[in-house]
Amino acid sequence: MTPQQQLLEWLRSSAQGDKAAFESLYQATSAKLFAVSLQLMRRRDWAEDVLQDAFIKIWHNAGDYHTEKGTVMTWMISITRYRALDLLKSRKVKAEHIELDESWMEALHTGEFTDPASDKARLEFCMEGLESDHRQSIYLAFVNGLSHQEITQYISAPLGSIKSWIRRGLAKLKRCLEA
Amino acid sequence: MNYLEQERQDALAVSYVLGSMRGKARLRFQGLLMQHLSLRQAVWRWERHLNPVVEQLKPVMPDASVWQRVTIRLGWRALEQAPPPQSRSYWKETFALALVACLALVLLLPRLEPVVPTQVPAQLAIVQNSQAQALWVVKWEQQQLKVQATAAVQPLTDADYELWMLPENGQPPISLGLLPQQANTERALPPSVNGLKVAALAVSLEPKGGSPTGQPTGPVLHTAQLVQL
Repeated sequence: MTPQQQLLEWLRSSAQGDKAAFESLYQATSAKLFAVSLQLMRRRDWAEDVLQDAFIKIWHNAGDYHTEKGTVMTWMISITRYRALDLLKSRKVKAEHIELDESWMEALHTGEFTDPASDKARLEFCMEGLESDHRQSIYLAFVNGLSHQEITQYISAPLGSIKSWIRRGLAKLKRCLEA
Repeated sequence: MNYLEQERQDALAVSYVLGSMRGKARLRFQGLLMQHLSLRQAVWRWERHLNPVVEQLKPVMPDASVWQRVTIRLGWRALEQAPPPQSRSYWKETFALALVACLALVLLLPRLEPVVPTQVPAQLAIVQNSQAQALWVVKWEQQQLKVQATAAVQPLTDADYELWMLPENGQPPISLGLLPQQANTERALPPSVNGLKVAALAVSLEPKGGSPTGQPTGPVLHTAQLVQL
């Protein structure tokens, strides 16, 4: 069984009320989802609140998952990110002290994506095809939850450029991924 | 659907997935998502494209208490095994709010009993939801409990909210009665709380009329800590 099939199996059992399966799902995915939450919330306690809320939702909505929503991990990341984005506003997170996690960028260059047919390898290929300013702007918005305005403080560029880079970068990324 | 409409949907979907759509626009879009399958499909497509980006982040182990809190909220774990309630940690953030509320309460609550000079100072707790909105303001006096519900309380028709005191010595929770869903109530504290230190207050969802067993039976929805006035 591949890791993806295993996650799907646990999720399927969770949807039928299997608490042990849900705990296995938690053990297998919580550290990854916590990293996602931490990048957005930037505070451990808030990131834990997000993770807790996300898993409550995952339990209650396990039966709503289907493959058009991506892999199980993709779906769980969506739930976590949206919960974090909801809370970001109410908690007024300040963007001043971001520690960029560049591990993903490192992975791009060390070739950690071993399966060339995987979606991740495809994403790597397509992200590499973007101009670095475009890629970095998309990364700051998506991974760190920065607004376009906040991104101008990280990449010394006017707001108009940031907006245009993100728009053009995403359009190019989409063409490449859907090619 | 024409091409332009598809382009527009796609632009909205990516802005939603990326997180650059904020506030009211985000809420409106969530409403549209419920109505339009094609919009949901556009969102799913972007999630499939972009989410693998964050799958590459270095995993970070969350505190073990997160799983405990998940199981408590799902009602799988009895309340007496609850972890320390500083869990909803933005409590610290709202401490100032609590103080303001304390003052407001002191000023506004009708003083029904004559003020006894030897009275033990009152304590106060604010029960909040996950959006940090105050739901109930609980004032704990020497022999009395005064509870004020706010407009943020979700009204229940066939269930009740029950308030519990969690003793610091690990003894089982003690019921402090049902919480009002609006307005305020006052009641005497049960004698069983006398001499016990309060670790935290908790709110559980119970059948209409309250827990049939005398112990929490439904999920724990909120916890709150008392602060000395």
